[in-house]
Amino acid sequence: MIAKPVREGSPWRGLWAVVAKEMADHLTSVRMGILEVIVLLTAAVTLYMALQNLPSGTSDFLFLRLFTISQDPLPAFVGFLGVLVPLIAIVLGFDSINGEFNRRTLSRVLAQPIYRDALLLGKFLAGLFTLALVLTAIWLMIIGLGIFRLGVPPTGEEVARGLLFLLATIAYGGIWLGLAMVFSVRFRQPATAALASISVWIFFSVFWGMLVGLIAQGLGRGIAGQIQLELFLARLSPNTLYAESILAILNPEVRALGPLLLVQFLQLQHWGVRSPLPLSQSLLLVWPQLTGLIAGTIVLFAIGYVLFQRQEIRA
Amino acid sequence: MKRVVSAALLILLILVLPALAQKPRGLTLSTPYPAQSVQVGETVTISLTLSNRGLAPQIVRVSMKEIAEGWKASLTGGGRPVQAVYVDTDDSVSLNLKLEPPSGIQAGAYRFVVRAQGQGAQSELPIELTVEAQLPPQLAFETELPTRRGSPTTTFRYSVTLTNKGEQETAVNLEAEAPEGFQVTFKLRFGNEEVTSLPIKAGESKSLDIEVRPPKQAQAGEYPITVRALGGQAQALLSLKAIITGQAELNVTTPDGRLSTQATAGQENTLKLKIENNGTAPARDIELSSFPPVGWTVEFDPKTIAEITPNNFAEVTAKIKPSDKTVAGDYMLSITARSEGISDSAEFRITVVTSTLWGIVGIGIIVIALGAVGWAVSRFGRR
Repeated sequence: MIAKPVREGSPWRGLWAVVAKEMADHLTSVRMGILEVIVLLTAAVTLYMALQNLPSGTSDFLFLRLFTISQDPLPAFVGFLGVLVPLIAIVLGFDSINGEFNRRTLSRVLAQPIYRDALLLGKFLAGLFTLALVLTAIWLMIIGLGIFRLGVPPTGEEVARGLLFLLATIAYGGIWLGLAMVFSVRFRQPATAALASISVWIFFSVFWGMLVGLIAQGLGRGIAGQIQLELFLARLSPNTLYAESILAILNPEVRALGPLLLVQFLQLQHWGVRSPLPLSQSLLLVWPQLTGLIAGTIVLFAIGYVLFQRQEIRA
Repeated sequence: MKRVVSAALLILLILVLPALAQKPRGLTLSTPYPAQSVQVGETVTISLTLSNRGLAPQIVRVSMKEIAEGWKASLTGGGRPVQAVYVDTDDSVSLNLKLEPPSGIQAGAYRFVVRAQGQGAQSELPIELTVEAQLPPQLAFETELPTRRGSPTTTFRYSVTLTNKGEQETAVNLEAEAPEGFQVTFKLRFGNEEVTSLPIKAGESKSLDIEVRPPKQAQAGEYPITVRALGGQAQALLSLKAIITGQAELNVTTPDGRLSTQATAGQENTLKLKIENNGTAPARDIELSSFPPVGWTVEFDPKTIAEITPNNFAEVTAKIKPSDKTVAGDYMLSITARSEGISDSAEFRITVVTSTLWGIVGIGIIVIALGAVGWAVSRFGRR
């Protein structure tokens, strides 16, 4: 048995150089420019609608309502984010590796004292940071315009909930970025990778819901069993996790996600008081969803990493 | 003829002289009513007439020859006190005699003599005043039920009759003396208006309702109430009695008065309760109970309290255990203290927080994912 060769130096050497270069590429690229314009338009329109439809006389969590109030036929800002964030993430990631490969620049990059580890993580982090930058800018814009129009500053809890919402959105984008990078490692053609990523996204956002219902009807035992199985399967979709997280984060009055037990229902019905949950309890409520999103991002990165490490890249 | 004339003259004299002799000559002091009856304390003015019959016009001195002891007498004419009067022949002058009795005069007869002293003639006029003792106004207060019993929140109502036994109509003022904090009001029966004074005709009686409201914090015990009716010099007293039997009053609260607490789902949480007795009698055998959400358990330590004396309190620990599946948020929990027909309950707002165990599990999942990456880096890392 041959002794495993030992690496010299840290596997992450040159990571920040890669991150900086990739971010510069992303931010100057035309496709990011197009996406930014779309996101900006969305934010402006939904914010305008929200400000028009802000219910009068309510003073609680006004700033959170800016994100969630919708007017037909347009969905609320969070509804748009559910579509736009996967799109941005896929656009940022689908050609990150195979693009280099096709331009025959991968060997050149790796001829530098940079490990593959640093290259992959650097590209991933650059995508994530770009996404975070865009989302933070929009978030700040909405809060700023909200202060300007409402004339009151947001409370500490509103800011904290808004930041959690931002974090959940970035984690949600991280999942799709990780998926796109897995496909960009796996498929040599960027178009194939893009198509595969978008297929998965469409599958989860359109078909998974129906499929879950069918599976639960077929396999679940009893109504309670069916509901539980359906909920379990639905939560395998990042869309569900994201929707549930922001529901509880942006609506402090949400006390439970998913169906309630009979006892819980009775308790709430007869003894419960309708009042906003403290931030810590809301966070505890969505903690599984949040950690699911973060862990899913990490796992997808790990898969992409393993695939990339085992790949033959000399061509 | 001469004889006849002298005889006629004689006859005339005989006839006329008696007539001349009978017509009095001199000073006369007179009054139409020389003996009068007067009331106690009354000042009397008697009009006098001084006549001069057949005397030369002269100045007559007038004075009191005799005055009953203590009385003040003054003779006035033309609005002023006078000492002398000028009387023409066959004329008369009016005078007034003002008699003022001393205070505290007794009933009885009093004699006065007025004297007029002219030149060679004089006159005296005795006057007698009988001071009559009069029946004083007299009031009587009566009730059939002078003692009433009730709790501090009762309005004690006494029916009384006030009678004027005197001979005069009297305005009667009503007063009451009650312990501090007691409110006493007088009402005419079948009337709603409060009265503090009322006129009562002689011999008449009025029915009154006396309402006494004790202060809420009045301790159990007997409270005397004195009611007084004052009319002129007459007064009547009536002693009433209100017997307050105490009543316990429970109040459920916490030592700091906050009716909210936090509880962790699935765990036993303690809530310190303070059971107060704000009443006036001790509360005995107090039982504590609650109306918790289904699936919760609430236990009290101790479960019953033997006794709480008035203005005292007992501390109870409530052990609240929300079921472990309880959804986070606020719930209302009603806790009742009950004792011999009285009870009080308080609504507690319980904020249920869920255990952070699942949060730790979530972090564990992320750590495992990071571990997987680390393992992949070490396993697949290339030279």
